[in-house]
This record gives sequence, C-alpha cells and structure tokens, in this order.
Amino acid sequence: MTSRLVFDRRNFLVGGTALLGGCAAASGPKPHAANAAREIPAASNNDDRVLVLIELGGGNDGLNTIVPWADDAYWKLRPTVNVPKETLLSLDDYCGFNPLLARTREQWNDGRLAIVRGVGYPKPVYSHFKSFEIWHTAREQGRPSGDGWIGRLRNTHWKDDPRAELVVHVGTQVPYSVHSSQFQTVAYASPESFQWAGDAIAQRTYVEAANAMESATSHTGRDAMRARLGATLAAAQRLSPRVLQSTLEYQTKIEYPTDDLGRSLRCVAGMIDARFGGRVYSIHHGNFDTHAMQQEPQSRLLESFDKGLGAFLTDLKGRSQEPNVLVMVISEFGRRASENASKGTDHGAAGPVYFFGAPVRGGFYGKHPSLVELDENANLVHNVDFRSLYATVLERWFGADSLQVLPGRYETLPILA
Amino acid sequence: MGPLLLKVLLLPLVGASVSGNGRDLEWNARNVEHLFNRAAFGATPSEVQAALASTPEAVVERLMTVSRPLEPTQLELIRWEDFNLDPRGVPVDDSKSKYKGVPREQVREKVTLLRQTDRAQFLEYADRYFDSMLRGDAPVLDHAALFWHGFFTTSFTVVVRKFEIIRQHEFVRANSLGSFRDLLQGIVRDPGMLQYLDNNTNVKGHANENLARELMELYSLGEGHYTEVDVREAARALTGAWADPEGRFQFQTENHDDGEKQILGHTGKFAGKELVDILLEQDACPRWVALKLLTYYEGVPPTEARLADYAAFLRANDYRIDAFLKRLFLDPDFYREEVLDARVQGPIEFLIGMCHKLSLTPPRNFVFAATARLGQCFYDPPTVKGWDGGETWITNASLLGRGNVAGVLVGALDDTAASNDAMTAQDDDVGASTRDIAVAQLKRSTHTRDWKSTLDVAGELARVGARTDDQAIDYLLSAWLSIEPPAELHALLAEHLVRVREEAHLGSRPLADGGADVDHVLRRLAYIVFSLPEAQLN
Repeated sequence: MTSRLVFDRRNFLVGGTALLGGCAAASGPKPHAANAAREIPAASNNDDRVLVLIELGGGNDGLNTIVPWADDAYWKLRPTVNVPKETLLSLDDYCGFNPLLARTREQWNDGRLAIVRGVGYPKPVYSHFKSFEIWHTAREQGRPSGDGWIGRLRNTHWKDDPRAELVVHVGTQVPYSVHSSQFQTVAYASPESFQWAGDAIAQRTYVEAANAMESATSHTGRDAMRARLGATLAAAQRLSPRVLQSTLEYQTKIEYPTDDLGRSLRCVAGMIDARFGGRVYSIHHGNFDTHAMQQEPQSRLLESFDKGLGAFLTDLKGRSQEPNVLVMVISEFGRRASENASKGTDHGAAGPVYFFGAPVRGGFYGKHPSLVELDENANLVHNVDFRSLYATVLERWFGADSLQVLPGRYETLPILA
Repeated sequence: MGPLLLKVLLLPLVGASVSGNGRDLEWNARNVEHLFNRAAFGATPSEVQAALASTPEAVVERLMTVSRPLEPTQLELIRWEDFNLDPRGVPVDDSKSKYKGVPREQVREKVTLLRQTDRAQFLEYADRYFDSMLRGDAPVLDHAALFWHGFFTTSFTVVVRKFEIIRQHEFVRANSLGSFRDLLQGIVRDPGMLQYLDNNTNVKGHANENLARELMELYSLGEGHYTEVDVREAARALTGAWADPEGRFQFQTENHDDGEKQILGHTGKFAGKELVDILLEQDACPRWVALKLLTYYEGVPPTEARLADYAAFLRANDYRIDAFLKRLFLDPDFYREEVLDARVQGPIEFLIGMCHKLSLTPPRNFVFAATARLGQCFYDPPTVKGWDGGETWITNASLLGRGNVAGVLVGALDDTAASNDAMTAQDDDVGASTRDIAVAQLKRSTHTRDWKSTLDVAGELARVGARTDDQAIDYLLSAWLSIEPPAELHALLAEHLVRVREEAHLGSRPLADGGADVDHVLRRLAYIVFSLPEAQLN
C-alpha cells in the first residue's frame, strides 16, 4: 500500500518541472525552504481572487467518491457498500470516480481538479458539530474558540476593507468559518429574503431613518449604539438591491439544477458575474451522513454536487473572472473504512478535499490513506492536515501570512498553477 | 389635549426615590421603563404608570414573584433503541437493532414518527416557557433563565434526544434565581450537559477533558485562573459521571478514577461534587459570575470597582442570584446614563417585548421559529460559548429580518398577493414578485400563514386621546420603543404621515378615528418603527 505510486496525473502529462512539484506533493509532507511565501504575487493581484468554499455536511464517504478499486482491502471493507468496478469512471490504475461524477471527471481530464487525499487532523472527533468546529476555527484540539479561519483572515489581512460583502454565505446554515467578531458578512437563505418587505412609501421613510442616524454626531451610550446600528441598516439597504439584482436577474445560458446547491451556485455565479465584491463565497451542502442504506442517498447527493458544480464551472468558462475563481470542497470528516451492518458507514476520519478551477494544477496530492493500517477506531489515518490546505489557500491564493490566521506553520501544497 | 393618560405621559414624572451609594434612585418614567426592560421584557405605558405610583422595592419584589408556575411537563421518554441509536447517538447495526427483521421502510417510518414526537414535545415545552414570558407570570425568573441558557449552553444538535434538553431547562429555570452553587453542582450532574460535553466517554484511564475545561473556562473561573494540569485533574474527578439511557444521572463507580487529584492547590480523592466546591471557593468564581451578570443586565462590562463590589456581595450571600439581582435593580448606578437605552436586545427578548407592548399573542411555535431565523435558536447556540450577544445580534440580514418578522406580527405584510396565492406558490413562481416570495417564505417558516394580527392602534389612540398626528407619534413612540424616543425620529415619522395622508386621501381625519385605510397606515407605521435600530435597543 504505502509504496503505491501516486502520480500527479496532469503534471505527469505535461511533464517537465511540474512533475517534480507533483511528486513532491504526492510523497508527503517535507520541509520546504524556498517555500510558498516567496512565490506570493503582489497583494494587489490577489484582490480580485475569489474562493468558493463548499462544505459537504454530514461527512462524505470519500472511499465511494474516489473509489480505490485496485485495492483488495476496499472490497473486504465494503462487501456491499461499494461501487462496482465496471461502473467507475477511470482515473488511474488505483482508483476511479463514482459514476455519478461525470462532470467532475471532465474537470479532471481538463486538468482543473486537484484531489488531496487523506485529509484530516490528529485525534479525530466524531461529532459533526465538534468536528466542524475544528474545521471552521482551524484550532488545535481542545476547545475551538474565537473567530472562524476566514474571519481571522479578514481581521488580519482585509481589515482596511470593512464592507460586509467581502464574505458571502448562501444558504441557511452559516458556517462558523466565516464568523468574524469584527466584520459582518452577507448571508441569506434565499436571495428574496435579503430585503425589507415594505412598500415604496414605507421604504422611503425606512431609508431616511437609516441615513439620519448614520450622520448622528453624538458618540456616547445610546446614540453611539444607534449610530452603529444605523450604519448596519444603511449597509443592509445598500446591499439588498445588489443581492437581489445580481442573483435573481442573473442571465446565463447554463441550466443549473433546481435543488438547493444548484440554486446557491447559480447565485454565486451571478454575484461573481456582477462583481458583487465577494472574496469568499460559502455554501453548505448537507445530508451526507449516510449511516444506513448509503448507496441511494449518497448517489443522489453526489449527482446533485456533480451537476451543480459542473454547471457552475461551465458557466464560468470563458468569463473574464474565470482565472480568479478557486473552488474548495471540504467535509467535516470521512466515513469509517468498513461498512456497518445497516449497509451504511459510520463517522470516520480522513477524507479527500477537492480544488476546482482554472487556477488549479490538476492531479493528486497527498498519499492515499492505507486501507489496511487503520487507527484504533478502524478509521483511515490522515496524511495531510487540513490546515495545510488552509495555509495553501491563504498564502498561495490570497497572498496572506498563514501564521496570523492558523495556530502554527503548516506546509503548503503546490496545487495552484 | 386629550384625556388623562396622554397628559400624564407627556409630563415629567417623578415618584418615590431610593438612596444608595450616596446617590438616589430617581423613580421616574424612564427609570421605571429601564427596570422593566432589563429585569423583565419591557413595559407598556400603563405598567409604567402603575409602577410610578408604587415604590421601587415593591415593584422589584413583584417582578421577582412567580405568580403562576410553569405547568409540569409530562414527557414521553423515547428510548435510544427506539430511535435505532446507541447511547452515543450512533445508529446501531441491524443485528443489534430492536427492529431486527422489521422491513426497513417500516423502521424508517416509525423512527421518523418518534423524531416528530420528540421535536413536538420540545416545541411545546418552548412555547410554554415563551407563554410564561408573554403573560409575565415570572418576569425576572424567565429572563434570568434566558441568561443562564446562554451561560450553560447545550445544543440539541449534539444531544440528539430532546428529553434531556427539556429537563435541563426545567432545572436551570427552577434555579435561575437560587444559588449559583446549586446551578453549578446541578449542571455537572445534568444528563444533557454530560452528553453535550462528552462526559459519557470520560472514564478512568481515558479521560475526556471537555466538561472539565468548560466547567473552568466558561462556567466558573474564566481563562487564566487555572492551569492545564487543573483541567486534566478535574477531568479525572469527573470520570464516571454518566447520563444513562433513561435520561438520568448515574455515577458509575467502575469508571470513576478514585485516585488522588491535585486541583487548584487542593489534594484529595475528589469527585464532581468536591471539584465544584473547590471551584466555588476560588476568588475568580464570584468575579466570573458577577462579570457575566453585570455585562448582561447592564449591557456594558463593569468597572473594576463595580465588579469587585458585586463579586464580594455574591460571595457574602452564598451566591444567591435573587439577592444579587435585587441589589442591582435597586442600585442607582444601574440607572446611569451609560447603561440606559444602549443595550441591543436579543431576538427572544425583542419579540417577547414587542408582543407584550402590542398585546399580541403569536401563533404556536412562532417565537421558536422566528428567533431561530434571527440568530437565537433556543437550545442551538452557535458554539459552546453560547451567543456573543450585544451588538453582535445585529447583522445586515438580521436587522432586515427583525423588521420583517415585526411586519408579520403587526399585520403589515398581509396586503400582498403573498398572503393569498403566493402562499402556495413555489419560490420561483413567475407571477409573484420577489417581495411576495419573501413574505410567503417568512410566513411559511414562522407558522403565520393562517394567522391574523389583532393589532388595534387606532383604538389605543382613541383611548389615550391622541387626536393630532403629533400626539399620535408621541404616544406611539413612547409606547413602542423601550428607549427614550429620539427627537429626529419624531420629525421623520411626522413627515412620513404627511406623505401617507396624501397618498391615502385621509385629509385631516384623526388616526384615532380608525377605519380600514387608517388601519393600514398604522400597521405600516408599526412595521417601520419596529424595523429601526431604536426598536432593537432597550
């Protein structure tokens, strides 16, 4: 297992120096002297860059997403909860895509998908809530506290731009990752809901009230508080029509699925197209918690994911913002290596993380976790700490100093072209 | 000028006064309202009047009295195995399932039904608690229980069964004005808390420090007043404290580490009770509790002198919360300028207070659903720290949201197509405007589709004799806002009414005369006012 060759497929194809990068990444963590910090382009170049952060909530089963068909252990661990080999979309001589990931596979073929395998953190936690807290805050074990990692990115690097629209969440469950104690975000369950429903004559008074307060000169006690809330109200009134216009009036030839993820991604595409100003767009795609009879629900969710994200990436293609959009897909944990007696899988540990987009250097990163050498809870052992990926995004995408955001120095991966 | 009440309201009012800390508590309308705002859930003009005729001591005493206890709850204990879960909340294998051999579809239906029962029990309990707030059965107690819910958080996303959650709230509420000693001792034996903070996996030889850490950091001392060694040793003391499958506390001798522990300078074979006694003895403990209480009730963190004073008082009074709050409510410094009107209400406070002021009875499950939308889901805090509260309650979305929820409550959003056709329409229905869709979504999610607001502002204006628009605005701002109405808001609404009169061809007819057209104007006025920052403050 451990000696398995893990080529970075795209780099292998393009050959040359890139191959070195791919192999270095694939061969696991190693200190790097001339590291990413030096490669960071000037900050102004990063201002237009956008991260679309998608969470697969509930814990996606990585083993049935990217299926290690060539590993005998897989079939032993998954006698019934498996994906038949003949249905897989070929990837390499070790694994293949779940057949419902046709569009995802196209991205792979185009060299626009980086798959980081075996991502996790030490001493895995099996509670969705708590594991997400760890992912969201990027804190070490112990109690996660403070702001989310995106929130800290804002507090430390984007503090000169206090506008709420820098970070946008589309959907009901706002993840703690975007929480900042200093800055607001734009978050809406449906774009329609991001408006005050008063008629025109009421709107006029409503807006005048906010403007009157914003200019309040007194700055103590009640009036200071009124002025600050007034500023928030004025911001909401400014943002509301922009949210409605950029999403509901977005014109595109691409047909998005009409499920929650499809709608949310369409909103994000519209906002990016309208240059709404988001640097991070967050989406939570839930229900991956497949403890029983996993096949049907996971297939449905993967299909939804594949169609939704496929539409988004196709929509983005050829647009001027395309080179500036990086998509990162995470899940709070993977699932137990072996299936359970209910034809499902229980909460596990390590799982893959995906990066999509034009700026991505496609291929595999990180070593595939051994299906034989499991931890004491029969879980896959992680090879890549998720904070390495955060560090990668922070340093190589946003040109930020990850030490100011993360609890320590984590090695970055060369996933970006 | 109209009848008595309006006259009285517009006069400077002074009643009795109480002295303390070298200053007197001026018993005027503003201070009376301040007391009701912070101790209870706001006051109506007539409550302010009645209180002014009484003394501060008598009013505080009455607010602290429980006039009607919460009805006892008959809970169905749904067993973990009935959910097809083990006590850790993990689905059980078919071979061990109590439904072994039963067709899968049937199992799913059965479990779904039980989940609904579980949730319904919780929502019913929440409504009973909210009803008590709305009726004012035990104002100080119910408000303090809300404070403690944020202090000792537990989440139903972790504790899967609601039985323990309901029981925890009953316990916390019952002790909200008792001794913090009982609260802290009780919470380390509380089955919901034990599950929430993983103490069921805290066993001899395999300590889980989660509960021990929060106990020190969040529930008693605050960061910086203990070491990592204290946490580790405290975790050992808590081993064996277990939430059993029946939803009860159980001390498992076989899982308890009965060896010697060293905690905060004490050495002994401590278990949970002794650990809590040690924590209560620390100087940091009364300071921590006083800090949290003062910050919550005053809306600003206390000065060092004030904190030290109140911490000493708490310790000298065996951690009695009732004594603490009584002292605070009668303390002239509680009525200082910095504190008055400058605190952001939490969503539950905001909605309960609004219903109280407007004499509205919201439909079942409304308060739970609406406040969840506004960022304060009862028993689902964002983190183990609870809600940050204060100014953080207000975001661009939550401010828009608070306004719209208020709009539904006052019946200002019933005039759109949304109230009829769009109600059943899909979100992407071509015919409906985005506004109609938003209102339909809001009504659907807050259980107000078939609910009609009983708001009668014109009747109230007639009762208090407000004939001119100026008088009406004066009265309504005073009645609707918890804070002293800013003058510029009065001017703004006066201009608004001029425009509205023109639009609706009202001429100079007094709003107090009522009628369908006036009713619409007044509902819209209420919607605007409760949407503004001023209405979020108290």
